[in-house]
Amino acid sequence: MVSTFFSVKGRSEPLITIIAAGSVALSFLLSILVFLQVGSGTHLDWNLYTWIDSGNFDISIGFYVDELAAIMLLVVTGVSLLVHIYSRGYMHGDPGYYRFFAYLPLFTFSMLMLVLANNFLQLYFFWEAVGLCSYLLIGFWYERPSASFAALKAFLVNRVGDFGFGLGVIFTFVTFGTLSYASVFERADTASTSVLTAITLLLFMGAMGKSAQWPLHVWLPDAMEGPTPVSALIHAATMVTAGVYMVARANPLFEAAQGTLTIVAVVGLVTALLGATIGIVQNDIKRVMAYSTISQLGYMFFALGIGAYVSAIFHLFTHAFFKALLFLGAGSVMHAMNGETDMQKMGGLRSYMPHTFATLTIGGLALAGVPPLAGFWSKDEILGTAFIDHKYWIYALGTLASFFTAFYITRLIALTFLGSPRFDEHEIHPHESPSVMTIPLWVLAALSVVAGFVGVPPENGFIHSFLSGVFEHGEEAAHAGGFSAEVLVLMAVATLVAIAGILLALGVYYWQIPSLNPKVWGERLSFVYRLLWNKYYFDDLYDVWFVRSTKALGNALWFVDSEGVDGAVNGVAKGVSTSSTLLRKIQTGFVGNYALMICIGMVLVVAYLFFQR
Amino acid sequence: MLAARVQLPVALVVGGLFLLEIIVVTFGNIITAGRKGGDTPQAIAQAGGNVQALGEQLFTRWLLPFEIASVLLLVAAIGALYLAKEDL
Amino acid sequence: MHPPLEWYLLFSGALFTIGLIGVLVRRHVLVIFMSVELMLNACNVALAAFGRYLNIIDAQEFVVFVVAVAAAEAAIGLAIILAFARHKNTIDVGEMTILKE
Repeated sequence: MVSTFFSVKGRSEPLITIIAAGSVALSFLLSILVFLQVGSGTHLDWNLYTWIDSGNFDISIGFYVDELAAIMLLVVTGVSLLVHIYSRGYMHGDPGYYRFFAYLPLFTFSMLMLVLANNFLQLYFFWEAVGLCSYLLIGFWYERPSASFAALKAFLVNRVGDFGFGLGVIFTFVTFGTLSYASVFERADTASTSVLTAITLLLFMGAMGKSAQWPLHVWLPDAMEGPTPVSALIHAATMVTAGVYMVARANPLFEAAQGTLTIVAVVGLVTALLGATIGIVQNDIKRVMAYSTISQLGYMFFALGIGAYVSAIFHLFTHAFFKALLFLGAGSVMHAMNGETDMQKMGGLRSYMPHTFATLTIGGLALAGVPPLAGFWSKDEILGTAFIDHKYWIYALGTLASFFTAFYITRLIALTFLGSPRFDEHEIHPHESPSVMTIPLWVLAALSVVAGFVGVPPENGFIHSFLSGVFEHGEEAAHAGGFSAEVLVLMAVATLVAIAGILLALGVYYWQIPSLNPKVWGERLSFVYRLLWNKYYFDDLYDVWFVRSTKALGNALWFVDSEGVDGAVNGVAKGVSTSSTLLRKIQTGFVGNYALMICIGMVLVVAYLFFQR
Repeated sequence: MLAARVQLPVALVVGGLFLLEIIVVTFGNIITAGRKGGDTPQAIAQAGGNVQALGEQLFTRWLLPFEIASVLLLVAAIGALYLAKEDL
Repeated sequence: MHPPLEWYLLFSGALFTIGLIGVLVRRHVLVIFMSVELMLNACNVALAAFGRYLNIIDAQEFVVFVVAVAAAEAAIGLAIILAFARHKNTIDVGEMTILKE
């Protein structure tokens, strides 16, 4: 189950690739085996190695394998394998090739150990490890200052979340006296609600950081500085889903703290809308995808918050495929366009890159939620659950976000592939990517089509029964599911919304209907446009609140140190020097002076001796 | 030198203070004498006078300090002799 | 026994103070020496007075010893002064500043 990493510094690219990709492939095959075994009812909760064992406190490295873990394993190893293969083509010729293929399997290893952990400490440890790998991979091209800063930003924002997470783990230990999943979940009911609320809130803080939820979402768009395969693997399919996984895994704790779940849902919904609206106006192809990821993760958390755990994991499953597809497709486009990411300089690539166009369109339709592609089933199941639970406002907002989602992804496709080229065709010669890159694209496209069917019929599909054992308290248990009339109506509404978004985007950007000219609308709604373009000013806000104040504090403290502390030290030295110069005058060499001093002392001593009563 | 000229006034002050202290100690009730000893003048007269009494004590109770004092005088004499020599 | 004890003590204290001031103020080496002897003898007086008035014979024994030590000290002191004065050709204490930094 563990993917090892060899940092082969030799320059032989094929060898490196074979070792790395090979080990991941092996892991993938093993995951399939695990999946099958778990499907037939075998679970595992096994300690591999006990690290500390002292009295009540024991920490070990162990594995906890149940259905949830099995699905995550498939996703992680599968997407990782495809990314490895894709990277062979994408990173070909890069001087840091060997480094890339050292970090990438390291990340896979960390993510797998995170998923398979059987206690909170291991979870936390590998939680940090994936953060580290993210840092390493975002800042892969470290000579680029923007990349280094982005990596730092990612790590710092993550750290804020991880701080809360760490506190949550500590509280868990303090409350339950143990950190192993099995024991904690058994005793989940014994703790008071307020304690559990505190614990779950702190754990969720970690999820917010790791999964780029508002307000800790600011690192993900900047993380696009990293190589595109990294974005596909880490920031679409796996690391950012660690937060979702964690909440799902700890669902006994969260179920006992309904207040936190409400917060989770609200945060998820806000994030979903936030990401979708910002994505509408971005011009950088990867940034659009980044905001899309933020938005879709918001959906997943929102689902968790309303108790639809299986739907959340289902959406995680499908999203991993089509989002990875979208990213890798974008990477293919960038590869062809010499690293260009600004969509305004693209256009008309359909004729140059048919494979990429086709697969990316499939991914886009899946994201938009067009049936019968995967995204439709998972995303709209979430919204459907909201509706059925009478949370109409939430349903409305979620559907609005869906509309935006369809809009921005169609916009992306239209700007990139359709219409006539907006670049100089003599300067740039786009070409289709090598098959090392296109084959993973087709695989993911196929998956985007069929992966949804594990959730059909809604609430009653394969995935639901598969995961039902894990989530005993979830809301799904209460629903009968199936293709009831209500469900069919909801499905139709969702489809219409998606198609409306697509048509609108096509109208604006492809057919270029004059009344829908984007520039005109931009001016009419200039306030809105500016708000979105500046990402709701969150980055600036944080800059003022945190960055500047910390820098100011740093400067102040430096001042205190150099003036105050150094001043004190130097002052002491100076004082000693000055006083010695003064005191030297006592040594006159005149013996009579010395005798005088003795006598003065004598007088004083006599006075003291006789007159102190 | 300043150091030398400082001596006189300060010494006078110090001396004055000391004298003051002596006066205060003598006439104030700061120290009280212990019990009186047993060697009254009558007892001394009986022992044969002051000198006899002193001699008695010197050669019995205070013999060791007596011997040490004599050694001390011897050493002092020799030392003085050596130190004052012009050329050895 | 006729004058009260205090008078003797006062006398001793005065002698001591005079000797003290003499040691501190005078510049002739031998005069300083004499002042030291004066101080020692002041102590002897005090001792003898106490011995007489408290009927303790040991105080008078102590006087004997003090005198002996004073003699020894005088001998050595004079020898040192002799050596030093020969060297520096002066007997003014103010000139003897080799202890200065």
